[in-house]
Amino acid sequence: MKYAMVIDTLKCVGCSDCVVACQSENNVPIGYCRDWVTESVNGTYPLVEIELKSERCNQCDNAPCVRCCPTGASHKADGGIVLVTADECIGCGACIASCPYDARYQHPDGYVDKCTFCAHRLKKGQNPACVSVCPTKCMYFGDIDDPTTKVSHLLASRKFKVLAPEAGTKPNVYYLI
Amino acid sequence: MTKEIGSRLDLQAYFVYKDFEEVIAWQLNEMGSSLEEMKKIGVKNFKRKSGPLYLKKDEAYEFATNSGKIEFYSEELANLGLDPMPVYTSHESPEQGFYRLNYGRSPMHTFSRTINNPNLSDLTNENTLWVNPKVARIEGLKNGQSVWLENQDGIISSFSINVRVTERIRWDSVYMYHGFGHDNKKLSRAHGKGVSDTELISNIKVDPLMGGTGMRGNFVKILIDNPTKEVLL
Repeated sequence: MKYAMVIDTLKCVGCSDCVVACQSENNVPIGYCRDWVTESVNGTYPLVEIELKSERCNQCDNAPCVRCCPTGASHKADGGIVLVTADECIGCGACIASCPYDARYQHPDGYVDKCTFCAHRLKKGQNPACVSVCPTKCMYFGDIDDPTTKVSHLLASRKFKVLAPEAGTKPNVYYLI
Repeated sequence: MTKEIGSRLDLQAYFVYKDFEEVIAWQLNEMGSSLEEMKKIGVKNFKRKSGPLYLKKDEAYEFATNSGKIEFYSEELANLGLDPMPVYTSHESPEQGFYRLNYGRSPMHTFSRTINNPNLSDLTNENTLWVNPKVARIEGLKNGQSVWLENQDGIISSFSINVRVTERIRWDSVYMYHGFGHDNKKLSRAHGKGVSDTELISNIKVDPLMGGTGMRGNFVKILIDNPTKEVLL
């Protein structure tokens, strides 16, 4: 089993509901975030294209943050999710520097924090908080090893991209384009 | 609870019931049902008194117009001296140095009422003035630069607004989010952040036919220097 998130950039309106949902679900202090929305504008007026993306940890198969962690606090958990054990983290920041997506931040309490795909919610059979609140339903979550899931269907039928493929991290957050 | 508050404010006269169940029972009685019945069945359908809701297929129907049909050309409007068919009227264009003030909503906020919410103000706590790169070049504006705005009637914005140079806006217009630029100091996170579009909207167009209002017929000039500075010194 491998968890993946598929985000439809054609449906996203950039409202940042995912960000607020994550902050309140995971008690992320104000001023920090585990997910965020980016906007890129291409072309010149009137032929302008706008792409909005909700970004977060890509839970990479080949995660540089796990490899560089000196204490083993950063680790791979069930379903390919990258987690940080706060008690084992010494706050050295190597993982923050190694992440090509800038997906980690240092919590005011000293440890490094990041998106967990809401692992505590997955155990209860619920979707991650960001996916469950999205008002345009542009986010999908599921197992991409299982060809019958919605995420597998979407990746089989739609054009998609991943972020920073050149980094060789094999990310698990896909963007439909 | 409302009844209790009411009676403590000496308004007992308006709360002539024991509890709200009594009110609901009375309402249901008036409608031709009863609380006991509704507790049992939950939903009750009444016959429509004003006829069927939808037209049947091929049913002859008269609309409430002179011809009894849907009118594209309205004699009634012509008799009133109005355009019987909509005629395109060109909108006013801004004068040299002015830009049309367009406004819209920030997707994070609900009008101005969520403006002081800690989470949402963390995402967006002020609005920006969107200008096309061509306009930025002409006016000598840089991204993030603070500017003030003056509208066609000489009204100057209370606060400054930061410029956002973007291709997402046309070159004869500027754009900002609505709901920012509050001057209430009790809005600790929102006070003085950005410019309020409403204070610059002094020209409200009213459609003589429908009464619809148009508030995007205002033009603003971009002031690079603080217009209140001289007064303060």
